[in-house]
Amino acid sequence: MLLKVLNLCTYYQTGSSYVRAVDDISFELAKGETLGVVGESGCGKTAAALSLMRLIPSPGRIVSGKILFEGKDITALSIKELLSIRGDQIAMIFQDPMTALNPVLSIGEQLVEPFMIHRRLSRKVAIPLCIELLNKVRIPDAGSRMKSYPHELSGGMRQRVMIAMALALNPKIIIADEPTTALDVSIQAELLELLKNITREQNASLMLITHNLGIVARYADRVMIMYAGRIVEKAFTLNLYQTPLHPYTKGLLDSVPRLNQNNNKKLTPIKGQPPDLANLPQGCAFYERCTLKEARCKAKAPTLKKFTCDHEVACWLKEEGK
Amino acid sequence: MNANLMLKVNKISKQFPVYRRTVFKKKIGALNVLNSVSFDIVKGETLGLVGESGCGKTTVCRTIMQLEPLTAGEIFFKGERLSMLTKKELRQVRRHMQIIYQDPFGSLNPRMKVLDIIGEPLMIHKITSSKGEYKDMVADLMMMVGLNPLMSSRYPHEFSSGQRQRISIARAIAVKPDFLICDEPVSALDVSIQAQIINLLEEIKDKFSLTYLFVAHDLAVVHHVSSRIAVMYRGEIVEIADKDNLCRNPKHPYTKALLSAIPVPDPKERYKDEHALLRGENNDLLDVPSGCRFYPRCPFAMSLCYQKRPVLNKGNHHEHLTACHLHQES
Amino acid sequence: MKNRIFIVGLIIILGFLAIAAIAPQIVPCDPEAQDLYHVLEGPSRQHLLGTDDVGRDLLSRVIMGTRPTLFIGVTATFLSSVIGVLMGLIAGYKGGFIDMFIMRLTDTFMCMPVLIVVLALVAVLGPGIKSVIMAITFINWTSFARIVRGEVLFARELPYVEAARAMGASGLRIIFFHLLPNVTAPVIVTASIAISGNIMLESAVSFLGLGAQPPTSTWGNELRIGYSYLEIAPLFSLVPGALITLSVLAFNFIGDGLRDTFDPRLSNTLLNKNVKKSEVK
Repeated sequence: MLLKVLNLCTYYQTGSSYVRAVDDISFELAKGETLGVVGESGCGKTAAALSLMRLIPSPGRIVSGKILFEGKDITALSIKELLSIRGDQIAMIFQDPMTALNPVLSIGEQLVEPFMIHRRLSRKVAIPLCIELLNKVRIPDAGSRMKSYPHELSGGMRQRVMIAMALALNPKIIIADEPTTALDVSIQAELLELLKNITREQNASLMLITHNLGIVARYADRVMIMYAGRIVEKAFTLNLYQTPLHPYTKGLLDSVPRLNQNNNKKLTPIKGQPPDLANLPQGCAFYERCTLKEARCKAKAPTLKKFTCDHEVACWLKEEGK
Repeated sequence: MNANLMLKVNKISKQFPVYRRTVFKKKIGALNVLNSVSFDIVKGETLGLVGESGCGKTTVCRTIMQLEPLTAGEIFFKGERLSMLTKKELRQVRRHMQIIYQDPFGSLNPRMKVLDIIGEPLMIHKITSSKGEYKDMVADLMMMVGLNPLMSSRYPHEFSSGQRQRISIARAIAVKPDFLICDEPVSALDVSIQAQIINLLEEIKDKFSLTYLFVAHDLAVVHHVSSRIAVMYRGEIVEIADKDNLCRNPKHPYTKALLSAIPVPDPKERYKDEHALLRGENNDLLDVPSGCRFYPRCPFAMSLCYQKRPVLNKGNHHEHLTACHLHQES
Repeated sequence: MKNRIFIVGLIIILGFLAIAAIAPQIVPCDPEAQDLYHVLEGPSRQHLLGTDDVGRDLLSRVIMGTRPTLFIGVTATFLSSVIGVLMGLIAGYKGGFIDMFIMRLTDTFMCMPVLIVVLALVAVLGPGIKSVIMAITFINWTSFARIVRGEVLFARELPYVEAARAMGASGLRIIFFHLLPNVTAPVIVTASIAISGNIMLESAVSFLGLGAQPPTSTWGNELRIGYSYLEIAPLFSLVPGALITLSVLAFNFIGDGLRDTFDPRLSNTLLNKNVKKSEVK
């Protein structure tokens, strides 16, 4: 197993209260697989991704848990060891390419950076490698684009540069946090296709974080659904979409309008609002919005348990393989 | 003019001048944001308007609301030519025409209580003068959109984005309009909340027999709520048709590409469709090809497309119209 | 830390205001009673700060002097902020020619040397409290106009302002209901700093003998007369000087404190991050 996350908890402390952004999550990422992470805004998916690289901004911090990357615990690494992993072994693609790129440096200057930092290559040697990278992400006229500044490129082009940067050193894991949310549909499709092909080529693992169930259905091998800082369901993509077990997952799938759906069929939304992470109720976080709730759901929060051999769910109603 | 017609948009164009600033401002060109856009909206229907960012769909909304002057063309609302109205008459018309914005954070004044936000149109149009009646009306509106009237003395920042969008909707229907423009009303919301708001909009439509212009970039959402759909590309409508016709039998290559680019939330569909993916981007707005605007990205481009701009076939508005040389009748 | 400074400033100013309010009741002696046998004396039990050149009690003089000094500073600032805010709102909302005209006007005003213009105006209008207020207002409104215009230009594009326009709200309603609340914070900050500047300006005018006329006491007046006897009776000029400094400093503290409270960039970081994130989406 390439990456193994065990009981990870990341909290933000504000005054005397905690915001449980990531609350006791465990998952694995195998070599070459694509793991989709689905959830709504504020469900902790971004905090989980940032935790993997120990990039949680203060006042947040990893409270407990282990992140085993090739057997080494990332949470226990020294800063020096951590820096050698960041960008080299694990790379990240952010949602907003405008803010993730430095506006005062040219594309080329930013692209050579990983080569100079991690591979100790000279600028001269690195530049042709960068041009090759830009070609790989299908940026036309790559040589002259090296001298462009981020604001001279369109949103799609900037995101291609971000992908190129993340891929520069053939990382083993790529974490893509909502990589196409800011982009148009037609560009989104092309970019995801590109990302899929390149990761497959390099045999890298991809952690694809998104709120879009369609993207996950098309590109992920396995999916985990997050709600209020916890994983509520985890399964192979096909299983999850065919037999969603958790009421939240079902609700999400019913909320999405579909093109092939029969006309005038009303959507069935999940009622209510997501809970406030700063003061979560006792018991299951989904209790208030759940259609199948029972007394025991309020009493104690369910934990993620195996339902079938490769389908896990955190719901009292789906215990013991019934 | 057809009495059943709510809105007639007739060949509207909008140009933004582009200046180069040296010592003196010098006009170096014009940005064609809208180029001869025409469509009709019949009473009681929902026209969906789809397009990618920067295609001019928000400008269409703004020009209809008279928030932006037109460069050319005319807009008729219930047979009245909007550009001919005086300020006073325009204020009267605005009572019947309301808009819901995309951004549930920016479109509510953070310093006003919900009571006053929803009640503002009532004040402006002097619907009621008694304080008690005003409060009752706002409370009714809040219940109608699924908000607890007890929350009326709170400020917008105390609400979640879905609830704020409900506040916007309550404000829009306060003056009982006939026509509602929804400019990306759900694209800033989470999936589960999105469905709530879509359902709410549909309920309100039935209740007040409203007519909608529903603008969004998500074709699946637009398909769900609309009766007809217009597809925009770079300031032009390239296809307009009944929603099922448009989605099952798209004619314009751009519509086809859009449809295939939508990721379907079903893993079994993963390998089914050959993605007619688009190459390239429409980044340079100033550099407009002289022929068909879609020509540089179109997989079926012919030499005719480069030379001549295709026009949307005019006719009865229930037809399937396409602005593409592959589908010209003559 | 900043907050503490703000509170210190506030306490000082409240103290001054309280003194100004009850000045006639707390003065130990009649501030205008001369005693030519005891001129330019040092501190004594009878005259805690000593006496001035015609034997008046200095403590009573500076206590009474609090009134015109604060009155001129606050009133001139209030008037200039009212005029400035109105001009700024009109310029920012209307735009075009009106905007250009008002802004070029402020440019012109900003080119002028403040003290000289105030002195010239006071000379024309005749010395006195009223003329000083008018002169300061005349030169001071431009900074408010500029700040307000900038804020309005930004606020005018906010979706909720546009929403109000779409609703059919009139220009006046938009200006006073939606735009004005947006500019109050920066105006208050500017005003509190402007008050300190205006107190300085008033003192300078009084120092040059064109402010409130004797026998009215202002700090500037006291400073001017005391200045000539600096070696014989140092307290005569040092005390009013120190009071001017203290009040100016206090208003600046308040201004800084207010700016920090109103500036969203300095508020709670976590909260801020959440807001930013949702804005992006």
